[in-house]
Amino acid sequence: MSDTFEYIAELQLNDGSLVQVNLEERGWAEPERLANTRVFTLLPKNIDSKWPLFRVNIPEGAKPIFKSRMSVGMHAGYRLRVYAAGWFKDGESHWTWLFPNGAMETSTDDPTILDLMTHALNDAWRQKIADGR
Amino acid sequence: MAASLSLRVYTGTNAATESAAVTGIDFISADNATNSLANRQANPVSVGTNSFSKHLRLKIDTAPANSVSNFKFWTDGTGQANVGLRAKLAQGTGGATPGTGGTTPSATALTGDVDAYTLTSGAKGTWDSASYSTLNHVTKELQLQLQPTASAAAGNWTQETFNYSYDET
Repeated sequence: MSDTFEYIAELQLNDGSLVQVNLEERGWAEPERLANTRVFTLLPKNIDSKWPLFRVNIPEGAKPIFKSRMSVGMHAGYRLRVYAAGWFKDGESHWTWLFPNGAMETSTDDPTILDLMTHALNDAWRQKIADGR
Repeated sequence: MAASLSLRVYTGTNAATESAAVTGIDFISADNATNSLANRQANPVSVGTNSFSKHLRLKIDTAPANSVSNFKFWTDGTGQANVGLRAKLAQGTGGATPGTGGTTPSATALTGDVDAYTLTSGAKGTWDSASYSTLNHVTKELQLQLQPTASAAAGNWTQETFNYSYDET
């Protein structure tokens, strides 16, 4: 799996302007700019992939949030990166998780779809060992 | 570029000697970072004794844009009969490599540890709750130890699936 993110972001600001940001670049999350963002969009870099295009309308007084989560199987050798975006307001984060097969999961900090995927990857590795491959 | 982290094994006095990046670990009757069949054959763990504890940290090989955090560890929740696997998370202090507060690996049973098989995808263990942003910085330690009882069957221990995750912003 590539060590570059699958997404870039587009921020629509309160004045209507659009800004594209590289999520891997230090400084993309300028606090003032995020506070003025009313629509946050994640655009897949590869339009032929199954990564979903994601757009969230940011509630008044909230700011957009974004992170990725890397899961690694020691011995099994899998490396799986997924993404989450949403908004933060009044001390509470509202996440939607995005997966490489187009699935999404909302309203959690610990997505169960990710657990299903890592189980499947571990099972595939065990089967490979059992088959002597 | 996104952050890149690798798993390192820490050996020697105070677990201060950092290995190269590893993709697997051996539970053996010696303190080394080698992961190979030959190593396991040369350093078997006798039933009724413990393996040397394995001291692990994640190291930042490519720095993130902001930080990496929320380090979790879990197993598949099932093991071999009469072969315990113990874990001690969030040990020592992270920071500049090789970190601080590590303890010397030994075959003495860990104390203050938990059954690693209770750390599952539904109840992940917290390896480290701190956040890091600097190249070559490392997390706190995760210590693991195999404890086969006197009733354990001799032979290869079934290869286990260990998983870890972290968040990046």
